[in-house]
Amino acid sequence: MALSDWTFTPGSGFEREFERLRRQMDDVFGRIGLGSGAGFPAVNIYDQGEEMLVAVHAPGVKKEDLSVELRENTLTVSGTRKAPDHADAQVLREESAYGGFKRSVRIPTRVQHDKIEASLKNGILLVKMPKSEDAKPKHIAINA
Amino acid sequence: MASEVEKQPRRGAGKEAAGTAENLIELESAFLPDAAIYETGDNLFIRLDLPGVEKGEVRIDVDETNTLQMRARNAFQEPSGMVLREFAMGNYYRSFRLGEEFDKDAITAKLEDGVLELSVARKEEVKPKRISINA
Repeated sequence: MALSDWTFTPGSGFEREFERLRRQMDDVFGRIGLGSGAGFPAVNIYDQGEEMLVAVHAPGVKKEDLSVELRENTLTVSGTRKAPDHADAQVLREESAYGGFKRSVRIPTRVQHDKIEASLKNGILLVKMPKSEDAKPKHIAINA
Repeated sequence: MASEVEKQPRRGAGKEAAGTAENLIELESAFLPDAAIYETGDNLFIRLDLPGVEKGEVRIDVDETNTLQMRARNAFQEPSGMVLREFAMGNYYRSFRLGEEFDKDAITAKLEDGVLELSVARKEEVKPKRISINA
C-alpha cells in the first residue's frame, strides 16, 4: 500500500511541511494503533439530531472502488484510489496518496442499520445513518 | 519546469470566503489543495484534489508572467453538529509559475470526482524533436 507516499517539498512554508509531517505521522501511528490522530482517509462526523452523518475525504475515488460497511457501531470505509496512468511522464511533485485504504470509525450513538444511505459526489463520500428511536433527542414536557 | 509561487495560503485557513464571489478567493481565505505535477515531452500536467467542487466552479487565470492561478468555489455546505473533524471544507486556491516554454493559450482542464487535471502544452518550438541520422 502506498499510503504514506507523501513528498516533501522544500521551500514552500514551514506550516505546510509541518501539517504534512503531522498527517504522515498520524497515518503511521493510526495504522499500528498508537495515538489518537487522524487516519487515512480523513473523516468528519456530524450529529444532526435525528441522524448521524459521516463525510469521508475521497477525491479521485470511483464509486465502484469504494465499499462501506457497518458492524454494530463501527463504520468501515475501504477502497482504492487508483494512481493516474502517466507511464511516460516524469513526476515532478506528488502530494496525494494512492492505493488501498481502510478506515474504521465508531459511531457514538445507535443507528438504524436498515436505513443507511451512502452517496459519493465530487470526491466526498457521505454516509447518512438515522438514529435508533431511543437515541433520538426527546423533549420532555414539564408537568405542573 | 513549473515552480510554485512562494506565497501559499496557510493550510486550514479560515472559511470566511465561503459564499463570496470567486474573485475574492485569495491566499489567506482559501485552502491549499494537494497537487501533483507530471511532465512529458509535450505537456505539463497539474492535478489538484478539490473535494466538494462542482463543474463550473473553478477559475483558471494565467497572467503575463506565466503565473497560473487556480481558484475554486466549494459549494459543499458543511453540515451542522460537528462531532469529529479531520478535514476542513472551503474554497481552494493555488498558484504555479509556468516556465516560458509553456503556452498559456494551450491549457485544457477537466474536473472529475473532485480532482482537477490541467494540461499545459509546450510551445511548438521547444518540443523535443527527434533528428534522424542519415548514413
